[in-house]
Amino acid sequence: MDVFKGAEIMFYWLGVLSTVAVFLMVYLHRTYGFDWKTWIMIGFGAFLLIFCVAWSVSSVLEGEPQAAALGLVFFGAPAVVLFLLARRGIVKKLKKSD
Amino acid sequence: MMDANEEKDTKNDKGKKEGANAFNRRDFIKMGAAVTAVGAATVTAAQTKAVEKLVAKHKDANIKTTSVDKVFEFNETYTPFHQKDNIFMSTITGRLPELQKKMMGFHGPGDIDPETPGMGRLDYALKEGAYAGVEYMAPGTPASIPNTGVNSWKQKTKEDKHHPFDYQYLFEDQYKFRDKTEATNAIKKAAKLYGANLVGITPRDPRFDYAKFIDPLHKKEFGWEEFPFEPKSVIVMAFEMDYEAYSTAPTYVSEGGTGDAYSRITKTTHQLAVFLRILGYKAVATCNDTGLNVPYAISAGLGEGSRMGLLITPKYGPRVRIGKIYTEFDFCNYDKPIEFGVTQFCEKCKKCADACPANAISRDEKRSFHPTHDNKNKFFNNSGAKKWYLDAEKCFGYWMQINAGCGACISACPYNKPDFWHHRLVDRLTAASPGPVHDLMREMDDIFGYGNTHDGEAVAKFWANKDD
Repeated sequence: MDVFKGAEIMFYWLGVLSTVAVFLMVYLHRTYGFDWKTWIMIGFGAFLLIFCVAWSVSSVLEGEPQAAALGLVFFGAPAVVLFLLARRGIVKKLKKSD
Repeated sequence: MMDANEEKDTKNDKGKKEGANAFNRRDFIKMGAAVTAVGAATVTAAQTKAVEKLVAKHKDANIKTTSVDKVFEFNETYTPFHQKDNIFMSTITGRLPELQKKMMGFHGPGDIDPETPGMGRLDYALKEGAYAGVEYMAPGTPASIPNTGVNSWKQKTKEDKHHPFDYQYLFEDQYKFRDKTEATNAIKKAAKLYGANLVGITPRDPRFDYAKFIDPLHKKEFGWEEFPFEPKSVIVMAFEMDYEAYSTAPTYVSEGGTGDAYSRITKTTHQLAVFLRILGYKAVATCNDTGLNVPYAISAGLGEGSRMGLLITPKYGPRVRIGKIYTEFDFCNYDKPIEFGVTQFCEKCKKCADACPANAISRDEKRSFHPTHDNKNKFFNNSGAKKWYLDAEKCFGYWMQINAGCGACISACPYNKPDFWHHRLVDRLTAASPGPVHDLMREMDDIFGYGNTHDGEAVAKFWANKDD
């Protein structure tokens, strides 16, 4: 019996990725101090990024490369935009405090 | 100037401030330990079971059970269908002469075309190999011919043994199950062991049985009076067809997927019939013969009917073939029909109708009691049931044209997806959403590259893919 197939390995690494994301968010919050808007952008962005990885890897595993590529565009791009917006907010806040 | 004590206090304050914001190594270790503890706690046996139950509950969250009376609507014109009127038999017997002419050589090697992807010698060999099981064990059953090969209606007794070690006959005494749940579980367990992907049990319903039968191989017509017992239950099984093979539809490769399912159906239904006979209950294995598969499968809770006339299951979509057992056994819990939003989705989608190369699938938004297509007055329409009516003459005519079963509608259907978590998620979102979302889902299905037909690259991909 195959215990670890593609999907199982993917979910293992998604677990690792989720844990790293949580650690990173807490670290960044303690370093820069997020307000509620930043939390929403970073949190939703992290969710979208993890979902994007899950979707695209699953699509590759099922042999649908177009679905994988579109998954990157539909879920990955908004995640990047949210991270950039959050970064801009933090930079503004830091400049103000200086 | 700052004295020593003041300097110490300032350092302590700074340290406290930094400690409040910085995420130091100790915090990492603490958090890691907490996560490990939570992880370890959740992997206890009891909690695993609880999670499994929760997942099972969530998995079926959008699937509602209903009743046969609610699912099927018939008007006063409906009568059980005569097998001689279906498209296979009416073509074979010459009632549709044009189709009969084209049918000569159908499925034969005459149209092998090395230049067309999926229609070469290799592809043809794949298809014929796939059909080898059913053609040897029960020839003609996919074309609805009953009482043939291992699907014989004869209930073999001890006296009919083929050889001294042949113990596969109808036992005289009947095995008694403790209760209906045990009996139902035993039948379903056996069916799955033998190879069925989905199993449901439903009471026999004469509305879904063929009224009469013909056997064009032996040139005879007969009725239910020749059936060896009064069937009380029908065990309906669905068999998945290969996703990659069906991605190539319509080709010999996709028909290989069909033929392989038929061969597995014949093997599995025969094995389950023997299982029941050894328990002392009469049973007859059937494929597309004896009764109508789709209404029986709906009645047994395997899925919903669709625009293209095929069964749509929650797990495999329309990418299944159906087999069934008629039996006198009735000490079981019958399954109920299910609903998960297929009818509402089909009203909007019409992707199968767009993909149909024969233009045989209805584009009407709502279902009706009578066909509305060009051949609406012909005998092969089983009028009086509320559904979308397929123009079977156009559909089958296209099969004759390409010398293979088509299956483009199955390949194009948005419910036809591999069994991956993200498709189940989308299915659930679709079922829980109103009509405009269905339009969006259909568009997204196209954009994401699903449901292509006449795709030469899919054929190359099928043959190139290496398993493990």
